[in-house]
Amino acid sequence: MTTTRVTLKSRAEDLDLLDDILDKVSESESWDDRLTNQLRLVLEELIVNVINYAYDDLDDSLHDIELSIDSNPEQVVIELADDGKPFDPLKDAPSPDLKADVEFRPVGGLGIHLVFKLTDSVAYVREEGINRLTVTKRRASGQ
Amino acid sequence: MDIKTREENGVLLVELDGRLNSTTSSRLEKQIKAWVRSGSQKLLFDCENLSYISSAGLRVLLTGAKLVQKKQGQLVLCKLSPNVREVFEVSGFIDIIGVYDDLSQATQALE
Repeated sequence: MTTTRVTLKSRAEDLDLLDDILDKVSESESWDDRLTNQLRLVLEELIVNVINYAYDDLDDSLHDIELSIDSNPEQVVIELADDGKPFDPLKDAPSPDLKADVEFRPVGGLGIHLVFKLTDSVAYVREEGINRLTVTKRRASGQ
Repeated sequence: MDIKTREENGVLLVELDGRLNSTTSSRLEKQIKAWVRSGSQKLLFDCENLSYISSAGLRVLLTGAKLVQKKQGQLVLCKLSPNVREVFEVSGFIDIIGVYDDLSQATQALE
């Protein structure tokens, strides 16, 4: 089992850094292409959500977003901590209307839905002003 | 991500190469708006070399689909990689945007 810890800043540029980190973990932990893609998506959605919605600072000051990725042959556990506004994806995310026709479908509201669909569990706790999110993804046999 | 285009019989063929994510999607959005402004109504995306898409990318394609629909046009995609197809299926977008296996099927859908 390996643990990768990194501190990202709440800015769009750090998403490229995230891509590089994921490529490295994927290679060292022998994730297959599908798992790598799913976790890349999960992390992008969660972190973009924090960058875009967690902060109201008028001066656009940067905040730290702590990320850890624990990977072993059975599962991958991702932990994310930010000091933004309280946001519980289990309660606060609007569920997107997936049945609506293109013309009537509202733009957005999808990211968190994809996170739930592509992972096995999502847990949230607010602790001393910090949002802590733990996402678990089981690895299928052979991955 | 690279975006290559060519016009064929009134259809704008767009080849996407790379990752369509929250960093690259705004560039594609600007391009789509410019194409529609200059009269393109039929957009065909060749996704053979598109390795990744996130909700930001889906959103831009949906915005594009709505935009061309208003002009009685259509936006379709073809040759999705398994990873991109999975995101289309999980998001439900597979049912609201035309997705085809190959170029000829996608072209037919635009006629």
